[in-house]
Amino acid sequence: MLHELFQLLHPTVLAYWLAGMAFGVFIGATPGLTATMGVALVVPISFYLPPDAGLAMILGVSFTAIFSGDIPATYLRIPGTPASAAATLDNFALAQQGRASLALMLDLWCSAIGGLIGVLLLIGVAPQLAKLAMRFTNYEYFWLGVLGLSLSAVVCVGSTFRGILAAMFGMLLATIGLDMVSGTARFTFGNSDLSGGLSFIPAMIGLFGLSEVLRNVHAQAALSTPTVSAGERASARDVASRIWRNKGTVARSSLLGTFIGALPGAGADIAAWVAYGLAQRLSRRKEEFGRGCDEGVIAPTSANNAAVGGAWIPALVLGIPGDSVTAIVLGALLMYNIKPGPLVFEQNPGQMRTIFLIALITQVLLIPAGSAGIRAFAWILRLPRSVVMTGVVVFSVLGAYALRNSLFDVWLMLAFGLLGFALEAWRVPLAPLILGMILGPMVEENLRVGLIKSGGDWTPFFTRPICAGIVALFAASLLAPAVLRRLRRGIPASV
Amino acid sequence: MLLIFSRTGWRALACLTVLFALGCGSHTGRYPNRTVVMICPWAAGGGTDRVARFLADQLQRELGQPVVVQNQTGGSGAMGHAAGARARPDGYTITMGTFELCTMRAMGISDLTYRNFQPLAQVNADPAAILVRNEAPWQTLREFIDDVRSRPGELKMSGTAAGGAWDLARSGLLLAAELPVDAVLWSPSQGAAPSLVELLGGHIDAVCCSLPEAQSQLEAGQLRALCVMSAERLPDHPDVQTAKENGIDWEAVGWRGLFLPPGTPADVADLLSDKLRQVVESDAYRDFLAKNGFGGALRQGSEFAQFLDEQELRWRAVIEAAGMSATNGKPRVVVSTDPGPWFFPRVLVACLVTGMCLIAGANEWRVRARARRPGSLNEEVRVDTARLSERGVLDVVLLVAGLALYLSVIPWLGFFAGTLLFAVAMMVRLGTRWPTAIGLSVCLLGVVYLLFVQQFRVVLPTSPWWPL
Repeated sequence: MLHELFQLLHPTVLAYWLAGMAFGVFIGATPGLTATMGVALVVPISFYLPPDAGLAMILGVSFTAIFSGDIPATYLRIPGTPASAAATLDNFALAQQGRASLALMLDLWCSAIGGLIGVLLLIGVAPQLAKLAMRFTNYEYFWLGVLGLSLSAVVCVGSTFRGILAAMFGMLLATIGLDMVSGTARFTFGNSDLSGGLSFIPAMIGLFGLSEVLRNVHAQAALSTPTVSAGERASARDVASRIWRNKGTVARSSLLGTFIGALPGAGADIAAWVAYGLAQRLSRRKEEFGRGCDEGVIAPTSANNAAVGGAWIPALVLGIPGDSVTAIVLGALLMYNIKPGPLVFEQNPGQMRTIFLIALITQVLLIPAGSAGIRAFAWILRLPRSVVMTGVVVFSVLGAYALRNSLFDVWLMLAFGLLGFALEAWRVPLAPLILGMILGPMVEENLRVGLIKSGGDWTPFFTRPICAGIVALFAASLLAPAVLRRLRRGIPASV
Repeated sequence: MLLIFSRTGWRALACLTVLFALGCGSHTGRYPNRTVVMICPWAAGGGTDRVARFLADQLQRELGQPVVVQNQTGGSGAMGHAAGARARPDGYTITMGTFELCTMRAMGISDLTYRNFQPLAQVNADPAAILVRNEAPWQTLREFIDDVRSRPGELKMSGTAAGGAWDLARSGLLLAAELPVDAVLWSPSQGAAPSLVELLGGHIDAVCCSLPEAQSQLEAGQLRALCVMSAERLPDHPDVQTAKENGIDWEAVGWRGLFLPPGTPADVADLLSDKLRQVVESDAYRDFLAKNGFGGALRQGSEFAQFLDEQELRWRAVIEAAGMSATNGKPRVVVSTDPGPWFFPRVLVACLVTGMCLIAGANEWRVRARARRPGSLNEEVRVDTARLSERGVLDVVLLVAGLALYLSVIPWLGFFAGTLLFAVAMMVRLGTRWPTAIGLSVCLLGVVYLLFVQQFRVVLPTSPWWPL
């Protein structure tokens, strides 16, 4: 272990590591460019570097990009990556109250803690968690999707009913394209571009990013003044005490995030929302959620960083990617002669230790890198709003295009921008729509494939042990608010 | 608007014209004199992507110009193939075509066939294989098929989406064994990797996919290959029997090759053919194939065209016999226990329509209730829509129209020219002064160029008239 650590502290490795982290902060913080794209861009370069430097660069990019997506979400209400969509709620609310610095410092430290817990679980119990993840099949994924969708009904500030409708609309949009289960084309109208379905990332960039630009333009606010006024700086003691007060939420969200990330069918974005929804259900101050509540900041951010570590569990142990980022990285690992799979710990013990060390140290390095990113972003925001908005549009076009090299995706982004603008005018919350788009296919495909496998029999959906567990969790999450209220009434009021 | 005639405006325009003129000069000249794009119709990190990236890297050395892979995914490969077929036939766009090119048309996914391309070379072939868990009771393919025959519809297999390459491969195998296609229950999955998880977890009985996709599990001894659907045993897996040895005359091969758009000049095509042959026959490529467990193959010219023809005929027969061919609008493969592809959309549309009616109804009721209250007749009754100011709406419409115009002209002006015009226009409209707007836009595009085009080789849309 010491030998690998020593090798990692070589100046070349450190230089590329920090360059990777800087690039990750830039990519994550720029609305329109995502973590997946960042890793895809870095991997070909990493082939020409010595293996340690290459691995450090890739890992640096993926862990920092997930955090820095929260920065534009806080200041501009535009998530930098899909996993940061939950940060547009409480983080932004805090920024509106002039406490952006508090929100982001809390975010940064919880990201680091969440990431650390995720990586420690990866190092400690990866094989066991992988074995548990393998017991998940269509029936379990179906219920997980339903659980996620039900939690989405609570994460909208405002009308729950409209939120549910938005989620259903999102699910409907996700049915466009080639159906995996039967091979039928749905809603494609013979257009080969539509047969690929609505690509999720351009849709999200348009729905949150472009629509926010349209809102800004419409609001006619003094567009030549700086975008965001400098708020008060948060003190380290304040941040630390808030984290300590909510340590249960941090721990629970990180564990949940790691486990959901470890499921091959679910990633950091689902983890963030499930953690947020659960935190709201179990919180004493659920009315504050969406208005600047600490837990609303802590829960999604620790979960999504933990999920990044969790996604490596099926990747390393089973050779199966946990999310799109690990899918790309797996290909890269093969070029380094690391064959992820059951034998990886025996065949490449040294390189595994290197990967673990890099992952651990990156969490620690996240604090300075993230702080630098926050400061740089705040500096850019001193530019007039007109410039910032134009920059957001240009990068949104670039990001939507560069993902699949398709202009169709950019048109899609424009359409979703208009949709987001119209929906907000009708006071329909946007977050459930995104959740519907992510979870709709999960729910539908698993239901149908599950029924095919069981021969039309509905009982496995209820009698399988893990399914029964998730259904119980689902029922509990619906009843939790009422039950907790009753329990807390019996406890004398505490601070 | 008169500002465009100001001195600063003219100066900026002059500079840009000079830059473009200089750039134009390098556009003509011997092939290749700029970046070549290789379109990969499958996602980054997958098998096809890895082969494409390696070939791109090697070709780059041979051609002396950057060769960049673009992943254009979607529609089971249809989108990437379609983009490759309609690209400009100047030799700067190569497509990595795969097995699906020969089945797309028969399956009704797209109208493309290999005849929409100019085939360059086949570079790889991976036969389909049947994989089972190590502790499975069947030792040979014959035992497995006999078991299927004795209890049809009970055993479950997976490997890809319904109608995908491996689904067709196992359908062909069953048909060749004189069994109906639904003798085995096919559980669709999003690719081979999730299906291997299902197999390892004990939820299905066998997987049909290519051997490289299960390499790590095979080496670890968790999975076993019952057979491989090739003409002869594979040199990398000498103890895996072929389907033929088990009495079933069936071959199924997933292949990859490179294609050019139709109408590419003969000298360009010949140059690429030669370079490609050198790459594929090199030791580096053989090493790469061995390391990843891929199978090698090389066919060019008329041999390749003959292969493609034969593949198309063979798979059309299987698709029709399996009942998977396209008929207008009818769902292709709907197992009776599947609620069907239209079940969910119908439920969702029904709920949405009901929900919207309820909201409209509740709104009406609220409006009426307010109107009934005394002294409230002058109140603003639009309770549900946030107020939209007129000037704001005009700006939004302008922005959207501007964006739509900008996106439409990108294929003609190229990304940089189009974005420059759009960015300047947007900033000026929002209140920045002309010189600042132009300066900042040039800076922004400079960053994008240095970072994305130079460093990361992201190929942005270019104009047919100048290289940016």
